[in-house]
Amino acid sequence: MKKKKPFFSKKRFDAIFSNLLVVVLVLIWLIPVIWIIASSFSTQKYFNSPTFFPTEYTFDNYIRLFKETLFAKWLLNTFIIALINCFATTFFTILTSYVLSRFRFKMRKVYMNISLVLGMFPGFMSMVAVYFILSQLNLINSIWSLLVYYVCGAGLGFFISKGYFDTISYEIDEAAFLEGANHLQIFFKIFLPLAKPIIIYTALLAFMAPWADYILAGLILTKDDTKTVAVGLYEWMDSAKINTYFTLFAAGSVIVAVPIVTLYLSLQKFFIHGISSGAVKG
Amino acid sequence: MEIKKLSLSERPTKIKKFLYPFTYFKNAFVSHKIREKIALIFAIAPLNLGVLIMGEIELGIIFVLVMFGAIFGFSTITKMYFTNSLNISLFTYLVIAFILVALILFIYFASLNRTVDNCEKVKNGINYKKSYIFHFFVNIVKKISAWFKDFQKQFRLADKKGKTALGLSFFVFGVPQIMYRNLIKGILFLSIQMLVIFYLIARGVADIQNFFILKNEFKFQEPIVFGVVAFLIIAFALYIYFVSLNSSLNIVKNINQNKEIETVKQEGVSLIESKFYITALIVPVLGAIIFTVIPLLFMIFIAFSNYSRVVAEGYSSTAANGFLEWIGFDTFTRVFNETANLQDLLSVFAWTMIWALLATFTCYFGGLFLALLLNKKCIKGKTIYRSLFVISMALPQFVSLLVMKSMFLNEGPINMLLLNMGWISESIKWWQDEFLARFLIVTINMWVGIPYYMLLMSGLLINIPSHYYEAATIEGATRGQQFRKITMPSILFMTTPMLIASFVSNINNFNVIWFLTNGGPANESVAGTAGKTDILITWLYQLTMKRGDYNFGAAIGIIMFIISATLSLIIFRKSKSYTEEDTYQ
Repeated sequence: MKKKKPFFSKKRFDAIFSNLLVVVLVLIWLIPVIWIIASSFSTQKYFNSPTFFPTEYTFDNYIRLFKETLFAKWLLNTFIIALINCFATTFFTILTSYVLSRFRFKMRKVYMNISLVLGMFPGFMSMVAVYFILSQLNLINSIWSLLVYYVCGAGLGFFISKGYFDTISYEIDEAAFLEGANHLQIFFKIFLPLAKPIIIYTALLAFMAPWADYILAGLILTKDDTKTVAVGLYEWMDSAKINTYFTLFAAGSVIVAVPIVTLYLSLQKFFIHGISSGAVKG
Repeated sequence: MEIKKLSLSERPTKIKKFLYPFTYFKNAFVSHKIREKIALIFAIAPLNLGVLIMGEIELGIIFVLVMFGAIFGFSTITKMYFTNSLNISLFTYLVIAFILVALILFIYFASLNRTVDNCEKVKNGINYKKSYIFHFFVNIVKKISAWFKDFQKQFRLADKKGKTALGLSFFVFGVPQIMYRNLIKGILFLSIQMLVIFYLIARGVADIQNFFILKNEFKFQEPIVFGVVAFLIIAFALYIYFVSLNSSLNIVKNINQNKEIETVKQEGVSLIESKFYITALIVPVLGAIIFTVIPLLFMIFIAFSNYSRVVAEGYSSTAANGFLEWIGFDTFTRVFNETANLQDLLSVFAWTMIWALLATFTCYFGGLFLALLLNKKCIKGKTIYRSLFVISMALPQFVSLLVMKSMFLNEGPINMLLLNMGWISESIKWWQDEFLARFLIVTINMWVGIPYYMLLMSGLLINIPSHYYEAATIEGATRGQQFRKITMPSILFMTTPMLIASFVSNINNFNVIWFLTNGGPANESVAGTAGKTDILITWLYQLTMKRGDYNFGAAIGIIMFIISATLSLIIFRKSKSYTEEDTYQ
């Protein structure tokens, strides 16, 4: 037997309220994004505009960005680092996690504990020494220095992917062993396909790292044409430069953000899968 | 003998667990020997000698030291605060006092609990590890003597070739392996020995000398970095020495027992089969040593040298005291004994803790709330909404944070909007006011962090079996009850380790503070170096990168490192992924 619902039932009220709340929240989350996009098309040269959104729009900022500044060079630098880092770091991280998840050897727990402790260390405290080592390797002011540093840290960031591997059943490898496969084959032919979500997750994070890293990049890359976008754009927001460069900063941010946001949105499914299964165990 | 299960594991409720040591006292004095009685009495007294008396030396000493430090710190700070010789805000004082009192109570309770546990174990005849260090050394001695016994035995059994091999293995790495055609291992060991000897002659010995003296003509960080490298290489060589000795013994043992020895081909195969982990880990481990371990050791040593003065005044081999030197614990006394430094340290520490707490909980519960909201049946277009939220997470942090910063600048759009609407008559100085700046930091961090947690929580909510909810609905549970009894417990159970890990990572959250405020607004008092929104890590950055005071930064870095490393190690070892690693499947 169904009761006849009144028009303003509790449920309906709840639904309206929830929908309204979601829309308001989405607006709060989007306004800064919309504002920076709008500012990137602004005709205003100065930062302090009289209105919230600019009143006139132009495409000039983007043209100036590529013609008058070194932004294109920075973009290329960052992209090269990000791309290579994405492959190299992911490979080493996944390999380390695979080994730590599947093998039992003497130093294993020691290695895991030490990496955990090392990860807790405020990284830039050791930047003086890192700088010195990189200068001994003749890598200062070269984008390869960042790459070397990132890839060398790859063996320490295995916690989430190892947690994910632990959930893959051992029976699969045992079956493969019986068929006569060796570890390399198992790793490449069985594990990698099974671990697709976590690999995409790791790769995405590795790809993102150079876009956001400011501390080391700011220290090592001091020449104008070797900077990454993070260093270059951060300097434009300096209080002395903000009035001349703000609209350029906005345009640069939009150009940086578009490919990354697209990547995230298209890989969202894997990302959710990766964080929720890896993070819980790890 | 049948061992009675400890009552520890039988304690059912939390209250009972809390009262356990106290209820235990009822029958403690009747059933125990004199030492346990003394230990129990001392465990009630403030300095907690109970654990020490029960024989757990290291733990006991740590407890006593921490307890003493906390009580001493609390009383000193209280005295200094009320006599106005320490210029910190009431807020800072309260936070610090709260943390110290909580620490004192925690150690008191933990120590009492431990003592009672150990008494119980003694009563039931269960052995427990008394001294970890002692235990460690006894183990090593046992292992070494067993090894030598084995060595003697095999040496006696071996033929002439075996005897030579064993004898030579003490002086030249890898010879026995080569003699018995384990070429890969043998050549590897031998070449490592040659390289190490060559290195020591070429520069290793000189590097170690320079490390101890420090006064030389090189660049100022050179002796310390190369000294650390030399130590690591020597440690590695020693390790290889033991490995090669052991492997030679194994070869001779196999010969004596007429077993077959690995051929070169088998050796090679084992590197991609049973010993694949060696092949796989070489590059990551080497990378970690060069770019993480060496810099870390370097920084620890920096804290004990006069490095920053040399950097500031320039290296000079002629001026008096112009050298780089070891200065011992001077920097650490500087941190705690100079009032200005202590003030900075305390206020920064208090704000760091509050910040980490607020940042973690706002994002965690905000994310949970958002995920639940988006999970509701009545909301259409979930995927679109979710994607819109993901945009803010996908933006590189420096972009989103700098945009946020500029929105709230004095001439920024928020102020313009408010001015235009006539709500305010002059712009609000968001970043110049301590309270407003802190409030904004936490709020903006929510904007950055909530989408991540929302994704995480949505992933977790799917994992909760739906029949729980069906059963609850049939039983007539309301939505609120379902949330309290089903959703919240499962989510908490799944994310507790992650929650605590994210607390620790928020302590080290450099980006948010640095990009938003640079640590400002600056402190009015002239002596201080820390801004009002500086957390420990940004303060360190200011000290080292901007002011060049590397020693001070290194000393604080070490203190911070000890705190967060202890916290995370304890959490990690208690977490499911560590304890139930093999049982998970």
